[in-house]
Amino acid sequence: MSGNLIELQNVSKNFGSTQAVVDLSLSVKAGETYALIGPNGAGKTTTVKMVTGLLAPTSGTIEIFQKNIETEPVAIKKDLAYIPDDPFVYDYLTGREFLEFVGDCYGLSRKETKERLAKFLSLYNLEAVVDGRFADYSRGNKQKTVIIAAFLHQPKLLVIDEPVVGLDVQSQNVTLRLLKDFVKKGGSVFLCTHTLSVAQILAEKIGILREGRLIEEGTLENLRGKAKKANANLEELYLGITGNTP
Amino acid sequence: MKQVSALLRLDFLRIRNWFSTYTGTKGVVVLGFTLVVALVTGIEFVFSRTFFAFLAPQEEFGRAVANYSVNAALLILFVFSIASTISASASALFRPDFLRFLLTAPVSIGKLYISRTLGTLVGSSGFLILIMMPVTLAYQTSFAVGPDAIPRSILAYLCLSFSSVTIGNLVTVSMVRRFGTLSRKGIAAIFFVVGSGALLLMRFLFPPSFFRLYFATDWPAFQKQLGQLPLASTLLPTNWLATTITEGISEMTLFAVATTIGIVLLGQWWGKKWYLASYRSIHEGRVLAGKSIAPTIGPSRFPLLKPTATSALFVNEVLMVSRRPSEVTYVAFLSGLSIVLLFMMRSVPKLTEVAPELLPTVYALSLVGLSYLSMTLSARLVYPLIAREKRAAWLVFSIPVKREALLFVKMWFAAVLCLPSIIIGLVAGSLMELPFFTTLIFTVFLLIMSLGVALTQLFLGTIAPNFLESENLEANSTSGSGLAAITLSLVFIALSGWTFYQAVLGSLSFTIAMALLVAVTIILALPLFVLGRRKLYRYDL
Repeated sequence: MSGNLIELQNVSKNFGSTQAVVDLSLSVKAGETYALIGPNGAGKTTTVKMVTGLLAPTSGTIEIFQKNIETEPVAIKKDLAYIPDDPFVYDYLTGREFLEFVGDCYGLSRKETKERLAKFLSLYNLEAVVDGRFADYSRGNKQKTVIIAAFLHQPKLLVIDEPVVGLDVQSQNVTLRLLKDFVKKGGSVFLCTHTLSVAQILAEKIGILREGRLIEEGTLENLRGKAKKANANLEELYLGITGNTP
Repeated sequence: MKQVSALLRLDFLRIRNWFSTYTGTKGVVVLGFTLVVALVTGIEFVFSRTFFAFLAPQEEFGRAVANYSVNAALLILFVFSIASTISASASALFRPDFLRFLLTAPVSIGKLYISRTLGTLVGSSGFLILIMMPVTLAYQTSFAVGPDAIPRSILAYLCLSFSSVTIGNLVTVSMVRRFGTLSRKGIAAIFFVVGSGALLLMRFLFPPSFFRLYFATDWPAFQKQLGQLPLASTLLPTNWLATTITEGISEMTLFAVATTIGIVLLGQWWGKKWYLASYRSIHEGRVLAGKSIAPTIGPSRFPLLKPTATSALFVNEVLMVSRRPSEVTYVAFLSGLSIVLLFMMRSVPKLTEVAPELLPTVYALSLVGLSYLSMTLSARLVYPLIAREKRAAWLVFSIPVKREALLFVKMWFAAVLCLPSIIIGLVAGSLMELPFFTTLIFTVFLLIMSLGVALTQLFLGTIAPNFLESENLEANSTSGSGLAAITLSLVFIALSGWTFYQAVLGSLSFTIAMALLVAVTIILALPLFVLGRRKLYRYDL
């Protein structure tokens, strides 16, 4: 028993002849936020999808809550929530109907769903639009609805693909606050992002992925130490590590 | 002109790029489709040839009935071409994502509208010619008409297709522009209009006086009665087209061509005038084109269902159909076709006096016809059920239920879609004046056949979902597995129809026939279910 909430061991994923993820091993502890960063096509979304069970690894094992995602997916998914980078929702539903649908899927009573929704809707100022059809929502409002859906069943682990893309500044702050509170209360977050400032604010541990391989991993201080740049921000460190220093 | 051709090139590139990957497999798909079409048109030719060959020896009587039939076929085709254009054009005209770009590019709305409708025109004309050419050939060979009947027919079919597609597109554009959200009243109105329209059409084509023709003893009396039928009116454009096909080029041909040109020009002018307003109305939340919503029909309106994952997923399936105008229109269109078929069955009891030996064949063909309609419904609504979850996979595959649960929900939904076949079977049996027990058997056969077809479509759509067309339900079944599903369904329908025929003839007892049907259904569906269930865990989404 490792005690890790997420444990990837020698995970690889191939799409035909393309190797999207190569021999990836990483772990996330309970109460920790782990940010995976890297250039486009590095394999971040593929990794996130494997962690949520949407994709099966070609080789290697993935354990969440010390259970194998391939053999015990239902038990894991009860305490896991996923926020995708493309906030697609059935366009024929209203936002409220969609959130009720999610509540039903996670076995919440309608009363619970209603009470939890009231808090989140007011937090994101969505009360005015939540009864409109989803097809008419802006990108940001779709993203907010999907974030609310993730928090609805009070998960223990949040897996996020780009947490703040498409959100206005106010909603970005609300989301970051929500995530920090979530971690403070014992939750864990595994996210991938291009917004390095968000990774720097949220993550205790950062992994840099390039061409499917984990090329660097550690806390911000670790990365600064390795790069011998004591005051560098994550963006500077990232560009240095990936060999794209301006 | 350059802009229109550039826009049309988009469609060409779409087809070319479709072929650029998995070319071998797609070649097989195209070949398969060609074979299926050839089979269908071949069967159509055989049936038409038999019908016309039966009429041909009856001199002027036979020829007059044949001409009337061609005229009736053209009118039916005209009406259903308009209906099918309406059900398809919401997507063709408004859904493509690149429209958002094109509408901001310096391209005139008129050119955009022409390019969008031209594609539909070409496709529809090709399909119409393909469907009607076997009838022309059967007519030509039976009545020894010269080969010039073929180009004349093509001209007539082009007129029919151009005018019906133009009218269909125009109706869609004006509906999108005019109406608000699709409420329950809206859905009821669509079904009422289509249902009563189909009934009126059949009443117009086959009024009570039509059936008295059989008893007209001499040619003048027959001719007089035929001339008094509504369809014989010389003011009907379909009559002009039928005359062009059966008699030759005349002033009626000129009328038909001139009317078509008028309709097309007027339609383009009107359509381009309304197109932008219609497009905007979609984005202002007013309407349609597969995007509208009826807030009055929500999950909370299913109070009997407990809020569980399974019930939530099931309600979602129901809403997917009931809230998408393109799906509602398609279901209404098929309902209209069912009404037409049922109306024709009303005439079956008359065969007991004229040709009782044909009755078992007619009963079996009626069953096959209704099952075929059920298959087209499944191909549109059931086959894409898994594929259309592609973009929602992040949710449906991350909720804490086994993936099989999703498949079981979709099986329930497919089963619910088959339930109307009970009513249709009972109505058909009573219209054909079948004995009560035979009516029951007919209904059970229809139900099991519909269920077998729906499950075949669902499982093949699970084994190899067409994720490339996940947003386009109309085109979803045009994949290799879609073709396989259609072919398997057709074979299953033919086998089941043959079993029923044998039972009606008395060669098989109804019990054995029923046992055979159930056995074939299980043999067909079970392995597909096992494969589909396994495949659910192997999608790379």
